[in-house]
Amino acid sequence: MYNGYRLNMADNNELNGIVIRCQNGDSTAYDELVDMFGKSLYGYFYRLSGNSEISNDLLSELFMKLVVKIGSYKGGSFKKWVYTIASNIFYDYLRYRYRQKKLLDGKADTIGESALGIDASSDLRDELEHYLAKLDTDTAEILMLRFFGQLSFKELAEVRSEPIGTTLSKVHRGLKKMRKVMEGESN
Amino acid sequence: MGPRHFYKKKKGFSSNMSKENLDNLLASFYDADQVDGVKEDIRIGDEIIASGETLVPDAAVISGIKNDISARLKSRRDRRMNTISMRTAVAAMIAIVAFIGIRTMIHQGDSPIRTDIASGFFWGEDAVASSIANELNEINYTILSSSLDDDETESVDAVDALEYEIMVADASFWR
Repeated sequence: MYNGYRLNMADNNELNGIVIRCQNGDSTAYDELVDMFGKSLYGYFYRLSGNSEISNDLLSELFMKLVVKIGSYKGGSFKKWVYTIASNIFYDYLRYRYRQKKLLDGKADTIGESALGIDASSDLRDELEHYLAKLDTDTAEILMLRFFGQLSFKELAEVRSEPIGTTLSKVHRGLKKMRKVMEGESN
Repeated sequence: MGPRHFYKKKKGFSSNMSKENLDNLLASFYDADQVDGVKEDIRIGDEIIASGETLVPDAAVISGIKNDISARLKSRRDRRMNTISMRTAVAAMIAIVAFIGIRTMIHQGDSPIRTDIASGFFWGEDAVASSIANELNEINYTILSSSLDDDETESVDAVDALEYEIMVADASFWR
């Protein structure tokens, strides 16, 4: 399959069936959900944090949260619902890092100014990581949501509670910037 | 690795958002002469992202998550069963005490409901006792169903949420 993170699901009916079983406390249904979303969610966290251990923790936190919150899922795009939780978890993590940095250094940049978790502790060293590091957190996050979550612009806008035009513009600017960085470095 | 690498490779990334009509969307927000350029920026940007390493979690991590979920579901089930058992026992106890009390009053003849029951004299005393037992069962059932109603789910969810908060606070990740 072209995108290695594409959700492995037959159709929405199948997914809805799994979600209903999860709501009824069926642990095998949760296993299916973990298999279905685990890889793409891990990719999302890893690309943004740059660290596999942190990504594992965030992934685990997400599924635990999902167990607690699944009763509140009332229909609509489940994928969008899951990625909304993922996005909240990621921003909570950023806030935690921000507070920790502030405590340790006595100063910190505003959240979103720094380039994600991609720093000396990053264990991801491919070109994409390098390009993403040139983007602000907000833009990088929206690009990763789109890629790993396979979300449409409409869904992205809903996840982020912003107008679709704003989302479209952010995605366009982010992708264009990455392209420019890449072209600038290859010349 | 130059940009051309991306231009040629892995066409069709945007097909994953196939339900969306990008042309219409772009036409709503950009001038007609800009649309093609924006589309191309998006396409190439998407190709750059798709060119990154595929990141896969360890099988052990996935299996650990599944085990944690399973353990959590089990403890939730056990807790629910305990709550139900406890409430049932309490309701049954109340019913038994009430039944014995009423029966004793009937026998002593000082029951205020004696007259009502007396009207059922022709049924015989067993019939009266059985009718009281039915009433008590109904009361018991009402108590049970009201205590197991939505409040049960909410209180369990509240405990779950609290447990979750403690778990997160305790996680080594935050240290």
